[in-house]
Amino acid sequence: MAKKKESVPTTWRKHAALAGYLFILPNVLGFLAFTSLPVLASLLLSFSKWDLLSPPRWVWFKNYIALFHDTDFWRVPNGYFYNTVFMMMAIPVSIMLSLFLAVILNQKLPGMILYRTLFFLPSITAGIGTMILWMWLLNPQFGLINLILGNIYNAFAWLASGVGWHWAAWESIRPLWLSDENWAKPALILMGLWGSMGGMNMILYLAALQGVPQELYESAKIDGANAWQRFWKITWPMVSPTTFFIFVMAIIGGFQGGFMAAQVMTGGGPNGATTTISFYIYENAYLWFRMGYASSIAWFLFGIVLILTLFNWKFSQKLVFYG
Amino acid sequence: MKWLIFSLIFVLLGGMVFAFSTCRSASAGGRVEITLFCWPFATLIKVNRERIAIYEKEHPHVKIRLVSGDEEKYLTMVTGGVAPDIAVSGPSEMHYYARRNAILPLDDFIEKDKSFSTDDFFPVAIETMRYRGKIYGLPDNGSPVALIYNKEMFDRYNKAHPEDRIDYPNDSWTWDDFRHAAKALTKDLDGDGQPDVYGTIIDFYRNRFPIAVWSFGGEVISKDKRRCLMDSPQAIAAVRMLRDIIWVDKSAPSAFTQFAGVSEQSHTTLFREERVAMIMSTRYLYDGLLGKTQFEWDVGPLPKGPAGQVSLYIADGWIISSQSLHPDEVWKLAKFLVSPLSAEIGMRNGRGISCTKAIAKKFLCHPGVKPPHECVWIDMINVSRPKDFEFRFGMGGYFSKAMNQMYFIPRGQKTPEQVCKDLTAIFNKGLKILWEEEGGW
Repeated sequence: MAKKKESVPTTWRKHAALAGYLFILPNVLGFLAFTSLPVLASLLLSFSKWDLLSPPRWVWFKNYIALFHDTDFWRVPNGYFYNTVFMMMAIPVSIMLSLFLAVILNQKLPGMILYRTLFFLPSITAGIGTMILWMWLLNPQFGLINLILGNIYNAFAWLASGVGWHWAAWESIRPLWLSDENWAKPALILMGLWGSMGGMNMILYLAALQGVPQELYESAKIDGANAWQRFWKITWPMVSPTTFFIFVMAIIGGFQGGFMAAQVMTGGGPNGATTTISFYIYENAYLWFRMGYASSIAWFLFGIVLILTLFNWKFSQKLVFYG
Repeated sequence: MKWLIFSLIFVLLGGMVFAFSTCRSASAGGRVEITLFCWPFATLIKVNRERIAIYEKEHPHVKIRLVSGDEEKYLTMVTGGVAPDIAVSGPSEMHYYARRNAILPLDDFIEKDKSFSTDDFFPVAIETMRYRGKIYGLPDNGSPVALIYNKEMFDRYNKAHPEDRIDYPNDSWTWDDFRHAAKALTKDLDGDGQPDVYGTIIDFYRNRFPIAVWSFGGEVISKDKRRCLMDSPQAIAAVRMLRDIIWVDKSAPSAFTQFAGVSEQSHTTLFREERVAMIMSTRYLYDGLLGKTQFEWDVGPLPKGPAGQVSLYIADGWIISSQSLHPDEVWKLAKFLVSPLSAEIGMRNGRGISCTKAIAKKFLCHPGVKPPHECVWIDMINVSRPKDFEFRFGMGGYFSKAMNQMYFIPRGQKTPEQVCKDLTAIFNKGLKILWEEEGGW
């Protein structure tokens, strides 16, 4: 009798497990068909030459060798690798701004929910729309940014002329933003900071800040710690796991980023100044139909992201405080 | 056990749905199913829906499935073995597909079908559809480049300067006349030394500069398509002239947004806001102008150069997949899509200009049409050339890199000589790849 009692749930458990596997089977099949197999195929394609319409030709490491000799990819400045890394230099600034915003928006003041919503708005606004808006803002001749900068500059120039200094005309020195290869990347960074500082990172920091025990602040206050000491000794370590997560994700995202801005705003120009690795992959794959070469760049990118993530994991973790 | 049965049914159903959804069009219940692919523009979809409805009514044995998407989607369908039977395509893509036998040459169909004649179309439209001597597409819709201008800005200038009257753009205009008018119409309204209203915009972003090169007697590439000729004195003179409009006359903006699509929107916006008096553009710009301006505007011919008046023609056409199971039925549909009836539907909905001569003339050349000189478009078609220099594919990106050299002109960062020299070198590098690795264009 006791034996029978035991066998029923075992059979049921087996059936339940089988049913479970069957339920996830469509998803697994979908994952295999639409993710794993294409990823594997792209690895094989990276060793071949394929224009999509003719059969692929096996070329061994030719694509990788070509990538290492691709002057457009490696040149400094304005090579595609350089562009990607340059634009990632904004990551620490973006993280700091997000934390700063989160600290401010973590105050218990009336109307704070409204401010939180306002700062989060750029993240939920359609990317194309905001980019077109930024294109107008950054327009060198008719844009609002240059209009404001020009007025400020002219005011100072007028004051300077009063003491005998003659400054160059604004028109001759104004930034051409997206039209100038030296200004295009800073312009995109500016836009990126606007979008990212109040986005998901701010929300993550807000959540982290709300998890910091208030007793720590109270006891620090009793011990005479000032606001900066409380931030540096309590807040910063306590939110370090979040900072670590944001940093790792930003590095991964940064290497894969820049596609939409290049596609919508600059076409990768001027003179390749805003072509990032991801946009170069797209150009090779879908504009020039060099699928093999595009795949090799994608796998090179994967290698870099993997190495950097492992590096981060191994060394940055030492800076993280898990309380 | 019930769970197991339910799960199995669920998986099987899912599999069946997946299998059916990827099935290619074929005959179903005696009906021929044809997949028609077009770009995802609202007007284009509307036009084709209207055409399909008429065709299906007239041919009850045919069922047409409309699929819309970008070139990437089309290519993915072709690669996946489910190519749409018929698709709209631009010449660059068409040449690429033809080179790889992905589409059918239409010469045999044309020869056999006595009800169809290429003489009904503008010769340049047919030329655009030709690849290595064979016709691969039926031209549907296109436009040359002409000069769209703000009449009232001319009128205001003439009223204020009766001693220096400028005519509206006309057939006698040379590039010098164009420059003179552009300079006259450029205005610094707030006295800051910077124009607020420009005479024109020089568009370097959509490979329109060859208009000037051709009219100066130059060529972008050699006839055998093996050598770039942009370093010739004529080509350099043409680029210098365009540079001078920006930097010497200061009658066109020096630096502008880079990207073609948005750049065109910007041009339209600036024209609409009366910040630019003349723009060289195709008739596709009408979408942003008709009923949206507070002033009178018109269309005029392009200026003449030392080698005469030349325009550039862009067109799209219908291509038939070599994977199609019903090429004869698809040919009938293609023929219908460029028939006078279909052409009328296209023109009524404001898309470019029909490639069918009679329909284009019917819509454009009669009094009462606004803008008044619409017939100029026909004159421009007759002096147009296809973009025979454009190789988007097979040059490993060198084509766009070469064309990007032109951006240095509005930025004033290179001389016309340097731009032409660098453009030629990069273009030739790409042509070398095209011929040595890809076996030609």
